[in-house]
Amino acid sequence: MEPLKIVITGPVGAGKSTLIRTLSETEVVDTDAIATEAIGKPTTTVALDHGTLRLDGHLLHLFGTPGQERFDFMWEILAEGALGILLMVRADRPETLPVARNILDFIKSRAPVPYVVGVTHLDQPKVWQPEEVALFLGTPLEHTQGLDPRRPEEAVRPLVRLLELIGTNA
Amino acid sequence: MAIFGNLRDIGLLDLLPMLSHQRGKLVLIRREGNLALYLAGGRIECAEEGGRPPSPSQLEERLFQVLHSQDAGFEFFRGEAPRHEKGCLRIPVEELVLKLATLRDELEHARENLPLPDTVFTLGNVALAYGDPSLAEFLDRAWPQLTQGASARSLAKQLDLPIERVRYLLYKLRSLDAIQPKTRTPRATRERKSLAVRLLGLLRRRFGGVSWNL
Repeated sequence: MEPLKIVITGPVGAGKSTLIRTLSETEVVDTDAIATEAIGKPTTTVALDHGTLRLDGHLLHLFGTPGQERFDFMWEILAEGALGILLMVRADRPETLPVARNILDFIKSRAPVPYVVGVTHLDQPKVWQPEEVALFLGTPLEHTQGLDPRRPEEAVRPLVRLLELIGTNA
Repeated sequence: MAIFGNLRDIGLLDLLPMLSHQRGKLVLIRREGNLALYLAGGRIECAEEGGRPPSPSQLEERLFQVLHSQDAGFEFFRGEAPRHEKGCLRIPVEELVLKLATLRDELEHARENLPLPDTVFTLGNVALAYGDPSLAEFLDRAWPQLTQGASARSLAKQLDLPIERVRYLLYKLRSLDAIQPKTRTPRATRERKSLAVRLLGLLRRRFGGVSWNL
């Protein structure tokens, strides 16, 4: 059976590694390193996160890519043949939205792969709502999903949305 | 005595004002070809590249390239005057230096948000971009490529411009919605669609009837 992959990308600190750790049934292979810049967390992904989710006979591979621009070559390689792409953005850090838009522009123009934008950190006091993020990114609202990547029932939402979109070919 | 050196050590923005009131030829030595500037009275009187005078905008682009070059050198030949007056520019150095410094600062400010070099863009609603002369000029030059879809990397090559400059111009155009990513629409096969529906059912069963909701 063909291995299925979902690519999870987005600016630094959006919760990509957390989402994979929450959903993966196997131990997550991560490549975190101590952050050398002030990015709001002590470590950051420098190569790839990888986890898996088995659904009956289907093995879903979850690949998390580094958020830094210098790793952009990986996004295209990973997106090749992917079931879909999940772009994660932080609702409380509007300064990362232009970077998220650049990533999305790149993906949209390079890889014909369905995508969903996952909006995290919505529990913070001052946030952009998912519809506001969608407005900035210029994406249809149905491609945007709010979530808390620490909670399995919410972490799975963008995957559900992605599969719904593929199923309806939106 | 000659004035010579490397632009890594003495920057162009220091060098030009320093020499602008001398009369002579400043040669900027670059791997891509030398650029000669004839200076006098606080102005670039004439310029020459490959035996031809560049236009004012070409000269500005070249100097912007030199500004970001890590390996360009220079040499000043005091007293040398242009052989002929044809195509002379007479650009005030102070004005030019200010413009180059502004461009450099704007680029530095926007650096983190510049579009990726290989993102492919196509034309959007260009009306607003024509309010800015530098954007208008770039759009006119890049129009055929952007009509088809072009990236910063390909435009830099085809228009002979520094890639960072092109990324900055594309960033400004993107902010005005004058360009959009050239979207490659995903087309799910029937197999992918039915697989998605199957996986969706399995996910919902596993995670308890999750549905899309903002």
